[in-house]
Formats: sequence, C-alpha cells, structure tokens
Amino acid sequence: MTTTRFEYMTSASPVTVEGVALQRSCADQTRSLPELIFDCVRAALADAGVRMADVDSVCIAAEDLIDGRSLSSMITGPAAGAYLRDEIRLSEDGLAAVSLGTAQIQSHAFDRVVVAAWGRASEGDPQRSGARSFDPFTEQPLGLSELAVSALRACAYLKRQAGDMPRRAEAGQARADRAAANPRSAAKPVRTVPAPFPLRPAELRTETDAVAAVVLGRAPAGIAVTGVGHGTESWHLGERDLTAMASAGAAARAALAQSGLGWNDLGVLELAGTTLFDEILLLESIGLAETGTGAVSFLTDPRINPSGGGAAGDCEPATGLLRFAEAVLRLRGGLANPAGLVVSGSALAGQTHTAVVIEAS
Amino acid sequence: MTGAIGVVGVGQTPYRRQNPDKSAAELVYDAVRAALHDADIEMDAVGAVIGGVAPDALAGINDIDRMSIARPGRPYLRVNTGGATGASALQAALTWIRAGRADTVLVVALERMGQATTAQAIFNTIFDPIYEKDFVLTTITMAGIRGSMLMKRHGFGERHWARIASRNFTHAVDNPLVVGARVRTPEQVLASPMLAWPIHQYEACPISEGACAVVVSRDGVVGTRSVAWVQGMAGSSDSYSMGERVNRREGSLIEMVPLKRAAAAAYRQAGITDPGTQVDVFELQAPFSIIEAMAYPALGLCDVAESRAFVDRLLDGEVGLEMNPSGGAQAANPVSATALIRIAESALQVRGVAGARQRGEVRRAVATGQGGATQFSSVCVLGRDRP
Amino acid sequence: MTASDPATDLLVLPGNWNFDYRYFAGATASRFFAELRDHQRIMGRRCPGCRRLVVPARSYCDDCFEPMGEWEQVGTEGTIDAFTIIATAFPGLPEPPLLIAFVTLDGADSAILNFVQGLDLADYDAASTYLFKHDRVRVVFKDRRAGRITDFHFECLEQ
Repeated sequence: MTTTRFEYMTSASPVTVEGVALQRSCADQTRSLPELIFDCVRAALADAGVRMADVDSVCIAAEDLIDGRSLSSMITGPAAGAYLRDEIRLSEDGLAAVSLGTAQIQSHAFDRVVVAAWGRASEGDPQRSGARSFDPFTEQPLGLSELAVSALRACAYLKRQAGDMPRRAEAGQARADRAAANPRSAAKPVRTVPAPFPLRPAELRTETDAVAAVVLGRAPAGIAVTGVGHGTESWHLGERDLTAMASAGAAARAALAQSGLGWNDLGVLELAGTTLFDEILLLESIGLAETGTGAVSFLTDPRINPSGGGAAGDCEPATGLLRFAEAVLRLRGGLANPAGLVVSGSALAGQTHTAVVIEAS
Repeated sequence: MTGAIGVVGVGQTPYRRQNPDKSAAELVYDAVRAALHDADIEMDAVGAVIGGVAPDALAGINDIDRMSIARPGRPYLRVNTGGATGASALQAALTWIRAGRADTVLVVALERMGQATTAQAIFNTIFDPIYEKDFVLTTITMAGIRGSMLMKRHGFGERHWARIASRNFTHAVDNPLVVGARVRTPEQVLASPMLAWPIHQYEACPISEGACAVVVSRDGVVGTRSVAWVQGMAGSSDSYSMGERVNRREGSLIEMVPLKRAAAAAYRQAGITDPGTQVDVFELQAPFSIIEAMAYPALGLCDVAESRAFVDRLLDGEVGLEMNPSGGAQAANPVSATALIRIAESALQVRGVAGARQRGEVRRAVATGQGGATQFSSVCVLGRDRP
Repeated sequence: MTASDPATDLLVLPGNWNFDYRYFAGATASRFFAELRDHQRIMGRRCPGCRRLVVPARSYCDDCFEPMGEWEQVGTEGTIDAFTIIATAFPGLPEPPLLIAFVTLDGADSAILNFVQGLDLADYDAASTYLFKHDRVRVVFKDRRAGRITDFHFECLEQ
C-alpha cells in the first residue's frame, strides 16, 4: 500500500491557499482601521478570484489593546466579511488563525475560510499595551516588555557564547537589504524605539500598520497546507530556558513531521520573532543551525526570511500572517524547492508558537 | 462508533463578585481539576487546550489566559468573541477534534472582572469610537433601546421584564455556584432604581468572576462515561452598526437574525424540526430579560408576532419547557465564561447530574451564546442520543 | 500596631488601565462630520449593490462587501425606531435623565443615533407612552458646530 504525503489529513483533498494579500501603511488618515481591513480582505478575495458570498467562515486574529477597543472584533469582524456568517476571533498571532482556519476546512465544517489579521501601530502603542501582559506583581513594576524579554534572551545567549555572535552585524545588514528588495515593504516606520542592551537598532523590527488576509479553500490551486504544528511553554519566564525557544522548535518539528519534509526540502523559511536576534535563536532552536552559528546561517542561507522579516514592517498580531503571505508569494514565484515553512509566536514572549508548512504542486 | 463528540466532564468555580484569595491561575486550576475529575481523565489525556477570555480590560491584565489557562506541551489557542467567547471556544474544540488533531480537548473560560473597579465604563469602550463615543452607549442602554422596540411593536410591558428576571433569580437559589443568590419578586424588580428605561437595576446581572472548564472527547475514547453528545452547534456574526440592523430585509433589530441563523443550522445538524416539543431545557445567554424575550422566536419557539403571548404563557407555566434552570446569565454573568457555562449546565442536565437544579429526565438541551450588542450568536444542542 | 500574619494577609494591588489612542476616522467619516459642521447636512452613501442609503456615511457595505457609492443627503425629519431614557449618571456626559434614540431619517435605509431634546422626562411611563404615539422628529443643528455627532440633535415634531 502506498502512502501519500497527505494521508494524515481527514479530508480527501488538502487545504489550499486560494488567495493572499498583505498591506503595510503608516498612519494613513484617509482610512479607518475597518477600512484598512476591508481593503486587504477584498484584495485577497480578488487574488483568489472569489467573492465574499463564496466564503463560509471568517477566522481572525486581533488584540483588543492593539485595536484600542474592547471586544474589537465587533467593529472589525464585519470588515473581514463576518456579516451573517460564522466567525471566530483569536487573540493570538495570525499564523494561529491559519492553523484554525485549516482545521475548519479539514473538519468539513466549511469549504472556504477567510483568515485575516492586523495591527495598526499608529493608532496606539503596541509596546506599552503589550507590557500589560506581564505579571502585575513581579514583572510590570520592573518595566518588562516583549522587547525587554528579547533583550534578556539575547543577553543570556551572548553570555553563554562568551559575549560573541559571529557576523551579527552582517546579519542585520542582510536583513535590511532583503527588506529593501521587497516591493511590499513599509515605506517608513510609525515610530522607532531605542534598542535595549544588548540588542542593536538593526535587530529591531520596523513598526508599521499592517493587515494580511488569506483565502483558504479546497480548490486544486497551486499551494497546499501540508503541515501544522503548535508548541507551548511555561508562562513563567524564570522557568523557561530563554535561549532555547522550545515552543518554536516543537511547533516546527511537528509541522515538518506532518508534511513528511526535511529541512533540505524547503525553499523558503519565514521565521518570525520580536527581533532579528530572536529569529537567529529560532534558527538554532529548530535545528537549522548549530549553536552559535545562527547569524552565519541567516546571512548565508538565502532561503531564510527573504522578505526581510520584521525590517519590512510589522505589528503584532499580524506578524505570522504577514510572513505566511510573503512565503506564499515567494512560492508562487517559483522555487527550486517548492516548499516553505513559516513559524511565528504569540504572547507571552513566544510562550506559544505556530508552524505551518506549505507546498506548491 | 461514529464521528460524534460529547461533553464528558464539567468543572466550575462558584461565581461571586470577587475572589481575593485566588490568583487567576488558581481559579482556573479549581475548575480544571473538577472537570478532569468529572471526566475521569488525567491531564495527559488532553490533546489540546482552548482558552476563552473576552475583554482584557475587565481583568486589567492583558492576555490573562496565558498565565492561567495555557498548559506547556500541548497546543493552545485563546478565543475572544466577547460574550460568546465560551461557546466559540467550544466550537473551536469541536473543530480541532474533527480535524483529527486530538481525541480530547479541554476548554476553559475565565472571567476575572472582580479586579475591575469600573466595569461599566469598560463596557462603554466596546462601542464605535468614531460615531458613538459621545453617547451613553453601554450594554444597559443598548438593552433599553431594544426593550423600547419590543414594547412598541409587540405590546410587552415592564412587568414582563420583571417576571422573567424574577424567575431567573428564583432558579439561581437552587444553584450553589451562584453565590449570594436570592429570590427577587417582580415587584422588587420594578421598585428598584431605573438604569436606562425600561431596564431596572434588579434586572441587570451582578458583577461575577469565576472559571468554567469543559472536557470534550470524540466517540472512540468516551467509553462508558456519562456523556452529553453534541448533536449540533453553529454560530453567526453580524454587522456592528445597530442603526443598520434596526430595519433590514433579513429581520429587524429585535429579531436577532444571527441567533435565528445559528439556531437553524444547529437544529438542522441535530435533526430538530420542532424545538418546542423536541427540546426539554434551554440555557440562554440573556443578561437582560429583553434578550430572552427576543430569543424565543429566534429559537423557533414561537412566531415573532406572537412573542408576547408566548411569554405570557411561559411565565404562567403553560409551556412545558424549562428555561435557565441554573438561573441563567441574569443571576450570574462572568462575561468570558457565560456562554461556556450555558453549555456546561446543559450538559449537566442531559447527564442527569445537575443536583438540586436537575429538571428530571432531560433528553435534549439547547445552550445559546451572545456576544457584542447581539452581534455574535451561537447555539449548541446537547442530548442523550449519540448523533 | 498589631503584627500582621503573613499567612492570612491577602495582597490587593491597585492599578489602572489607561491607554491613549488616536483613532483614524478615515476620509468617509471625516467628510460626514465636515458636512455636519460646514453645511448642516446629514449625508449617507448608497451601496451600488443592494441600493441601501446608509447613515452615518460608511465607505463599504457589510452585506455586499463592496465599496459604497454616491453621497446623498437624507431628510431633516424622521421616525424614532427605538429609544431609551438614561437614568444613571455617567462620567463625562450631561446629567440624566437623557433620551437617546435611533431615528430613520426620511430617505435613509439605516437609523442614526442621537439625543432627543425638549421632552419632559420626569415621568418615564408618560414619556415612553408619548414617544410610542408620537414618533416623528426633526433634526436641529447647533449654531456652533465642531464636526462631531453632537452637532445636531432631534426634537419631537408635535410638542
């Protein structure tokens, strides 16, 4: 009996990416947040060649504090198509919504799902609101933030590596070059924040207004979702090995195992972290680089974050969906290895990670 | 053995105004331990955890689920669909199992609004900051607005709202989880201060916090456990703008179009053609009496034009249906958890283990979830018969 | 001062939830407000698909999921669909009792929310009975307008 790569799936045909769109902007006063979302979802539908009437369900990823409204999906959900339609909102990174949207189709509940995620950094202050996820008793009083945890992570890593990360500066420059070459990069940042020691400005992301949308379906289109993985660590920072990025590694390995692919089969990897330093650590965590050589891998392996990653413009929780869309577009452009891996994390400081494998047929 | 999924365990903390002796994680722990015990499983049998927490502002901690619900080593997602969160989280769990990703999923909803000192002001921030910021749009006034439509179009009076509320509070007295429950007569409700006409203070739910955990498993692993099978579940969202929903071809604001659609879909899955005779118990997410009154026709229990007559008969005990044996959302409304509690209570009824609030032999129960200003709706049908 | 017992002291930490935002209204909403301020007109936009004229003006139709089309002015009179009388005080707002209503202005296909002024609200039953029977209102603009929704309010037609 022959086994096919897709046999793990309960559905007869795999879930495919029928359309994508991603839009970055900076404080565009001509459009409200729902209007930004509407434009991007419309573009994804157009890319898929379908209308909203052909969509069964909407799966969105958004955070109340980023959106500046409690229960923000009341106002934003319909902008993503949730009019008299099944809809669910996750307060997670956008890639988690890809996972759930895929499951919705695999479960035979729906045939076509719009997945959307956004973050409008210009309307609020994501760093400030993100800080309120930390423990109010033991962490908030000390000024902890997602960026501060990245810095702590970098510090722990450098300490372990005797203060050195070979070719670190070059990796930062390479990321900037890739972002500059990406036609979808943000023109300018919403704001710049100082880099907490030992992070460097070139390792921080470019904060922008960002929306991404994907149409998932069953059409025998070009790109299929062939693996999904999730990882979860302890919430307590003190109980984690900060440099291990364990949940990212677990998610990536699970997704790859499901797809039956190995590292050498991949043509594009979009690995998302709060900073470039996190992404380099992620490389090491998922086994793509030896300990201490993550920056070298990033620099010399053109498959890694060709979009420019966070330097192209980002705002949580759109991150993972932005990277997913970038990976899809790159696959469509034709790659020698027509497969991609996307990995992205959610609060708190990467406590959970989602990984998705996509393949072009 | 089928692809059926059932609720095999339920755990709830008492719902009270504050729990100063418990952290969020400890509240969750209590509910989860109770649910696992009820399901007769250990945590290592749980394949995924789905968390439900609605407005972060109520707890005053962002992403409070991360510190309390997420468990290392298994997939975790947080759902946030406002008041419907608990139901959406359960629906996500069903999706997870049907996609072949797990045999058993733990769903946990946590409400920590006991930490809020200005809860009503927080509810005001859910409305459109551009067109509606200058108004007093709150969950109470938006209920009042609907109330006025019901009274004008269908001849309801304030006494209807008071009698519905009174019934719910009376039921809550038999529910040990509703801490501080006490009977309120319709006269007491009507005599209480007016909040926003026609909503009186004693119709509004108290501030409650707590946690609810539900274990769902697929048929193949349920074994001989006491189970409430999920016979149908569906949800629908809607336009935000109330003004656009006031009068439209799908139905007016008081016809609760998304609830009607969710019910139709869930009933179809469950093979229900006449809910009035084929369902025994309803657990409605109706934090206000007027929402209950709108829900009856949307749930197919009567025609819209006859809803007042139906309510009269229901309140006079002439309709053989049990409404909100738990006391419903009026007696206790821990926002993030409310929709999951309706499902949990329905499961207890079907399994015959609801204690003092058990309503005899319950073959089938329907739980509803509501989020936003009647914008997100969910309907879950639970029953004794494996679908 | 008696010594406290660490085993029973329960720590309750005060905090607040203050975040600043700037909400972009977008070109459509901005024009809607400018029309109130500069021309004392209430404008909606019509959907080319379902032909609904929606006020306040929106840039896309939720149902058709299409961009809205032409701008059109709606009438200066309308019908109350629903209302409530706010009885409890709210920070930052006028003293209660306050009457707010959704009104479908003549020509519009959606209702718009605003205060209704000029009615005696001392007796809720009397006020609500009156409003059930007399549901026609007119739009009244302020002399000094700021480009906010409160640039206008409603008044009952028969007083």
